[in-house]
Amino acid sequence: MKGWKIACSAFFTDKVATVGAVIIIFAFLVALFAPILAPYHPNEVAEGSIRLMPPGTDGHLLGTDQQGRDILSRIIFGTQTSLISAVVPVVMAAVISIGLGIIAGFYQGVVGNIIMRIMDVFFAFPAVLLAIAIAAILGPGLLNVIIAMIIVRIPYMTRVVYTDTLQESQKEYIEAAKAFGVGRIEIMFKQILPNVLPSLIVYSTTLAGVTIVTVAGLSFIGLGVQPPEADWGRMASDGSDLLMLGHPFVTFFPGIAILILSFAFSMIGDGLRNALDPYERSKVKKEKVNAKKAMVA
Amino acid sequence: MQNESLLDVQGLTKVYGNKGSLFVPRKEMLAVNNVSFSIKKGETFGLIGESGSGKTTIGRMVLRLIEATAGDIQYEGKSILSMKKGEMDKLRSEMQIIFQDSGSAFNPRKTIGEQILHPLNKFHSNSDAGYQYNKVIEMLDVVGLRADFYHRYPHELSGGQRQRAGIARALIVKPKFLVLDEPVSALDVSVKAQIINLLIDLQKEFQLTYLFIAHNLDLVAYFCDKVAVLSKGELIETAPTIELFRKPKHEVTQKLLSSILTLDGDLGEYYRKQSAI
Ligand SMILES: Nc1ncnc2c1ncn2[C@@H]1O[C@H](COP(=O)(O)OP(=O)(O)O)[C@@H](O)[C@H]1O
Ligand SMILES: [Mg+2]
Repeated sequence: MKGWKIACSAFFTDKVATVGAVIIIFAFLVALFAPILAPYHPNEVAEGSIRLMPPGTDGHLLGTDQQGRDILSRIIFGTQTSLISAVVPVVMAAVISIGLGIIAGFYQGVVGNIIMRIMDVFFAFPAVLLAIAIAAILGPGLLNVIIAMIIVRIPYMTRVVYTDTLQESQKEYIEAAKAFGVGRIEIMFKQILPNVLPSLIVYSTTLAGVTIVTVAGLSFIGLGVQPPEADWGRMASDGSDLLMLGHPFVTFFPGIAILILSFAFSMIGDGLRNALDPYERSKVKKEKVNAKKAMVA
Repeated sequence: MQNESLLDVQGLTKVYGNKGSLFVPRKEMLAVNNVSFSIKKGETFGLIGESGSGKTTIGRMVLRLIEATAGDIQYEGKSILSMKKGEMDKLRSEMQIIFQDSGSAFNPRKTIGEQILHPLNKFHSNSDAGYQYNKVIEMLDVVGLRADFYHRYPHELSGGQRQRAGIARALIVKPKFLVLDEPVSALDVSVKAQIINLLIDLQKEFQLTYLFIAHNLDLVAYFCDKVAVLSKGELIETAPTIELFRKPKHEVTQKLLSSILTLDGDLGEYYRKQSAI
């Protein structure tokens, strides 16, 4: 069996991860085909539509918002920004943190000290507050919110990579590589990286879930995506005045969408860990072989 | 056995510690103090001392895996401590190491075969992939492992099998000198003997010189030509094995000897026989 096939079956042995992956793949397809899937233009009021039509109205499955725009269409288009705000900041922060954390953990000494002390400064502030401050300084807009989220995530991820690198650097396989004259760059990125990556990936998926909520929160207070662009956080925020006025669904549907997608990202973590771990993979391989033997017998 | 010396160590010293900085106070620790010995070609030289006495530190300095604080190390008459990185890297195919903890001696995320192939690739990068693969299989066979171990991951091997794989990884670049840093300390008694016997066979087959590190004298009589006893970073006694066992000069050596005699009553007899020869 090919390596990636074994990795896939290791991933899908985790039921929770499988559900999470299905939701995420579904969200990606929705984002990709939003123009085809959405029954209406997300930012315009369709002819004959009126404000605040209740869910289930003919032609408007989830109703219309305070301007008369179709809520379902806006949620479908909002998938795009939500996915971007989940994936982009976490991936970018992970890439930067891998560099910083491995270098700090491998060289320790002065270089490591400088890097980790700078990270400590960021730890002094609550992440959400820091994100709000940075986004406010940079000005409103999705790009600036993403930059703010990258900066806020780097210290946490660097800490994870640093700790794992410290541990791996002690191991004798690093010594063995040095005994063959393997260079530092190669040791850091070919020997240590594969061993620190899995826990970072698991951590990243959790962070991706949290980031969706945080970015939605920044949109909620007006720092993220600007009107009339469709965004789940913004939709929830715009509808919040109507919550008590008999129109809870304007806020409810985008809120549910945020929750489901952020949970989905948190759910795939363990599955990814299994897929990346040779020990878990060989367990899956053995089970498959045994199953085959049982069938033959 | 030739009488030429392969490795000469003079006044080797290691001080561990940070230089101190704004945040961390200066702290120093003398791990190895003015150690001198020399190992002849084809010989097995035992370096014995209790845990923490500095054995590993000496082994790593000899291979320049860590830098010595002071002293001189000559390999075949060339001072390796003054070598530039490029020159030293070329020499690395001649000097290799076997580790105590076979569990951490292999990268858990790469197959055994990949990891034995890696040094070969490093030193003979121009040979083709098929040739290199065959070399690895050949070397697995030399250490007594079947070809299908190539595709296994480290966790799928027993401690003894991993130690064999470690020997294969070291030998594939055709070294002349091996540092054996407690190679069997972590293994079961029966497996210990197998690995030591394998090392003895390989020594004959490939004309190897060994620096054998251990924390007791259990295998020394069987395995070493010469022994040096290390205590708290200093060499307190160096002698041919038979001499050391017959007339231990230092108290620490006597203690080490008495602990082995209680374990194996036959040893006294073994040495009476040896002295009769
Ligand atoms: N990297 C290091 N930094 C500081 N002290 C060390 C380091 N490595 C070893 N030591 C210390 O040096 C002494 C000798 O260690 P080591 O050479 O590993 O002894 P042995 O192999 O004989 O058990 C020990 O006291 C150990 O704590
Ligand atoms: Mg040691």
